[in-house]
Amino acid sequence: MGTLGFYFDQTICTGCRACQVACKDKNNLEIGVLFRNVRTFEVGVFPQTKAYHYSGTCNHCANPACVPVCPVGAMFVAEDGTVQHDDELCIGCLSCIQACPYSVPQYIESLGIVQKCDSCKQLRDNGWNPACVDACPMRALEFGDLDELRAKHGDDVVSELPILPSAGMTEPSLLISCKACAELPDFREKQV
Amino acid sequence: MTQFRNACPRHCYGSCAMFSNVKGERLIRVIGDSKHGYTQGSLCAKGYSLIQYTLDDYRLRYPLKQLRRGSGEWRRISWDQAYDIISLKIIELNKTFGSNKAIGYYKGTGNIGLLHHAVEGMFAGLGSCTNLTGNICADTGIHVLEKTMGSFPHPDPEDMHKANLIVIWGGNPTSTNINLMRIIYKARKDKSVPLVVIDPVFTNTAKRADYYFQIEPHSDEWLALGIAKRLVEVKHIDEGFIKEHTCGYAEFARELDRLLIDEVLSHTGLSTEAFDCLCKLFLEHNAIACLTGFGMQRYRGAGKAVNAISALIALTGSYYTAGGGLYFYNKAYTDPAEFMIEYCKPHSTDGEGRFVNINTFPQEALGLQDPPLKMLWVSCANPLSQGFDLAAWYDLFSQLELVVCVDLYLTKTARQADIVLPAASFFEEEDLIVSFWHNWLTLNEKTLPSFYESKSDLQIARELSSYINRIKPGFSAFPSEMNALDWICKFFIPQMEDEYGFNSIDDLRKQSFKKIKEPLPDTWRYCFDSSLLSDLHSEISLSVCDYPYYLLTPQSLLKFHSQYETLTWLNPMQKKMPTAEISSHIASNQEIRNGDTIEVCSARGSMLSEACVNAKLPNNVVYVEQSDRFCVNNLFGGSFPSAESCPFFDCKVRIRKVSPYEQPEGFSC
Repeated sequence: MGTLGFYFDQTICTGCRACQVACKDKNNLEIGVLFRNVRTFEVGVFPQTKAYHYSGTCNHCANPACVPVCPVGAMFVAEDGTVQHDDELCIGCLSCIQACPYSVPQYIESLGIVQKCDSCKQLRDNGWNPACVDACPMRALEFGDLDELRAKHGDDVVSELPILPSAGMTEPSLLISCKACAELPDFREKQV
Repeated sequence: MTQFRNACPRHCYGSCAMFSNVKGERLIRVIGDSKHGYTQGSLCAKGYSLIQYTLDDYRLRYPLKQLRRGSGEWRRISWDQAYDIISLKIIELNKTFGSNKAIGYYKGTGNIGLLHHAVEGMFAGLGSCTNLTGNICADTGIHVLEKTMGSFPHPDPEDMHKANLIVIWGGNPTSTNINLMRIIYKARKDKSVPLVVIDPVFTNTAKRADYYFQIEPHSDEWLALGIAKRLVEVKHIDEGFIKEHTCGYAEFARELDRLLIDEVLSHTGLSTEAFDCLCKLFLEHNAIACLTGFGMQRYRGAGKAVNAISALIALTGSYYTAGGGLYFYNKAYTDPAEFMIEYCKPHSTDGEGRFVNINTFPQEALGLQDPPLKMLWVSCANPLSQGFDLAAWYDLFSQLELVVCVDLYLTKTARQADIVLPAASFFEEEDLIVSFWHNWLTLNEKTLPSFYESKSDLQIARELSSYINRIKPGFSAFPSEMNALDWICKFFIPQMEDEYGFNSIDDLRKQSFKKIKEPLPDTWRYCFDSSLLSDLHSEISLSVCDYPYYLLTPQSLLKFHSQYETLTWLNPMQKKMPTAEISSHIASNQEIRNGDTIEVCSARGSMLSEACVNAKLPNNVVYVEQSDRFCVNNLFGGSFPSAESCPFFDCKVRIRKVSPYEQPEGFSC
């Protein structure tokens, strides 16, 4: 099996946040903590404005920034290639939070440790999809072998957007079918 | 994109080696150096925020002059104007008093780079001025251990995992020394070495310990001696070690005999079961690694605690074991400040200068006569926020004719200065960083061009010295022709090359170097100090009824004392008020809930804060973060014995709930 990762079809995403809420529910997250975060952006000048959404979570990078920085080895690359976190080892030093260019790891105040998306490993091991994937009413999210996903969704999928850090930094395992307007440089984030 | 080698110069256990990636004169990424034996490629959260730090909006850009001190009426001036004002004042004071003794400096540990000792060098170059002595962090322990352990052998922290018991006494490495946790976890994983944490506060480290002992603040010496007594009683001591490598044991054991375990229990607040459990741990292990944190050295007489712990470790014979011993403070080779002073001072001085201790600086400086102190240069320090006796500091400032502050930010201290000079960040200067904890040394390369008009301490020392010499030839002996690389190549490298095993600056550009450590010599002796037990009872009387709670202000994870506070990557919360954590005991007694405004009062001052109930705190403890914005230090003060670090944790406070209708006039921050 090749590299595992998320596929996000931006062209059909309606920005409904169902994935975000399903993730929060699955992981029982505190107020203010999001493992999957949907953001909405706007480009252009009235009347030629366009909007797009981006649903982001841990990209389970091939060259993750969070893994080497962890002083105690709590963040590690699992056998299936996803980036996993060992809560038992974590000392809550927040180094990974600062190191991740996607701001993925989240500090869980009540536990005094960091946690992040584990791509619903437990669900997957039992033959299910990650919670966010199954929650999407538009079926805009998929998780699986990146080569297969690429073959399925065509060669025009990308791994970076102007709103994201350069893919060269951490080689994210991420495929996006992006809207044309999402490739424009002058974006503004909109609070929804 | 170009990559440079850097080293973090904070006065921290890590002294992390890092690489910085620069694109178009902008720092775009910092990563740890995986070849560094201690840090192994990880940086802390503060380290990763350095990208924001180099371009922080709050950083000072130009030299500034304040029209009236504390008025906030700042005027931008040129460097030459600043040098002119300072030089003329120095010369005028020299003329008035016939020496440079009216001129002093206060150099902190905001940057521990060797070349920042150029501040000391610059003043040494003037001849007899008012110099600084002492160690702001470690004086309490250093002075005591010099008596008992001589030039005390600091074990290599990378070997700590070889011990068979790890004790963290009054320290919190998950916040202040994250790489040590890797070593502690390695010990646990490889050999199931238990981690014991002794601390009044249930810290993040305590949460991860196998055994946690919550003791009353200020009772460390009682606990250490109590365990020592138990070891002696059941004759479970390393007699071979005691016979060959110690002196004064017989008397020490006799004195210990007089100690009552009941007293130990009442002082420490431990139950008999807990105390027995801790003693058992010490009885069952013989290679004990004990870290005495700086937290347990912040009260009057804390030297006794360090002393007692060192004796306890001696009884177990751990000093010669692999990984065992007392982990405290790794004294660098020769003191670089002394070296700089020695090199820079003029050959024909007009009498000796005088010395003021860094810990008691404001009180001592106020007492100076003939001549009184008239000019102060502050660098790498923020004493008006972090000092112990702020009232004395303000008194001192009011007698000064000129205050110069070199800093990256407009700190509390800079706001009370006449001239503020913008300091370079460590990415904008060359330097050499030697750790006070592990055995590594790292070169810091100049990575970025100067931020606006900021300059390094060395650059300022060179320019100011030659400026004075232009006005009055021969006034300063500081070698202003020598640049950073000259200092490193000509002086520091020859001094250190044998110890660290490198030959040139090119070697340093390639990697960090580790000191070649010699094993503890066979001739080394531990001297038991039995006087320790005779004055155990002399406690400082604190008015218990008026101020019933201890105020503890330990180091927090996302700040470094008052440094890094403005970085939104680390401290994004725009707080209106500081947070004070109180025990649930205090909360229920005074009907305080989370978010209530409370007044924390000591005999010295008060501050308003937002209450946060922490059920894990001992009943008699209030916990507040250090800060520059919400300075807690105006609650501290009082006198303390010389040769000790400031007793910040000696502060006792009371708590008052402030009703929402009350005008917050006590809010002095």
